[in-house]
Amino acid sequence: MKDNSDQTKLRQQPEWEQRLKAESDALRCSPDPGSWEKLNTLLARPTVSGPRRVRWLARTLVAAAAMLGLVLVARHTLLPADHSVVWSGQEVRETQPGYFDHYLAAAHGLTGYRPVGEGGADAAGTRQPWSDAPGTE
Amino acid sequence: LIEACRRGDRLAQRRFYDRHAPWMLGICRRYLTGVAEAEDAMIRSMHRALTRLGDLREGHSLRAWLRRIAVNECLMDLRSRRLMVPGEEVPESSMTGPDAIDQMAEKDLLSLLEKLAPGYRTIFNLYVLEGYNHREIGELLGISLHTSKSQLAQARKRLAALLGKTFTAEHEG
Repeated sequence: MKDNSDQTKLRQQPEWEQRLKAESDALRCSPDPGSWEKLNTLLARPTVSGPRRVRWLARTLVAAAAMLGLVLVARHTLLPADHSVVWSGQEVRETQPGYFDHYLAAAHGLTGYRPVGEGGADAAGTRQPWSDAPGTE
Repeated sequence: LIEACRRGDRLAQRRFYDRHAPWMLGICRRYLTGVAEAEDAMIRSMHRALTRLGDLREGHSLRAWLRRIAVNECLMDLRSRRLMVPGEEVPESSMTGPDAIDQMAEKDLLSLLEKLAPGYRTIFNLYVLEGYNHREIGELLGISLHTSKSQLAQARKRLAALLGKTFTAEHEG
């Protein structure tokens, strides 16, 4: 911070400036008797800028909370509720009795088609899911 | 002593204060002419120093570190009161008449600096008394190199006049 050419600067300074600098270096002023009490009060207060470890811990906690928030938001925006049911539903193995029902329910949830055999399609197989309304046959 | 202060030992902090406060108050008085303002700046500087002693690196000069803290506190105070405007002139009411100059003891550094406008006083303090260069002053105060140099020349001229000296251009920084 200090100028590297202090000696050069001193040589260039007029004599009265050098005297002022010497006086300034030797300058001492007596603090007010109540100053220590004020400082003591300030020191007794908990400060925002604590030790480095505390600051590090606080930053880590904030970062972790932010990450958790991001994950929650991403889950709710990227995975719609009806689709997420498919992925979060209980796994049913193909050897179990309810396997096909579970498979069809999942397919219906993804595409909007009704499972075959529930009267959703006509014999020719041309029936579309949007023509399901009464009176359209 | 520093280790004890870092641990928060209040007695050690008191000893640290007793040792450094008069010297730091001297710095603050050079920048801030009001006694109460200088006291407040010294207390804030001391508080900052005692709560951030952990930032002081091994081998670094404690005095230089404390000086920087005190100078920064004073500059912040001047800035907050908008008293650091470069080129600011001394109000007529506070100008010293010839008789007052004759009576003023040359040794009285503080009363001499009080005669300068805050802008001039700040730059004179930083350059001549603290040893900062013009580039550093420009960064600290947010002014150009040229402004810093011209302000210093004006401050020197004013001080030389107050001291009854003849200012010579060869001494300009």
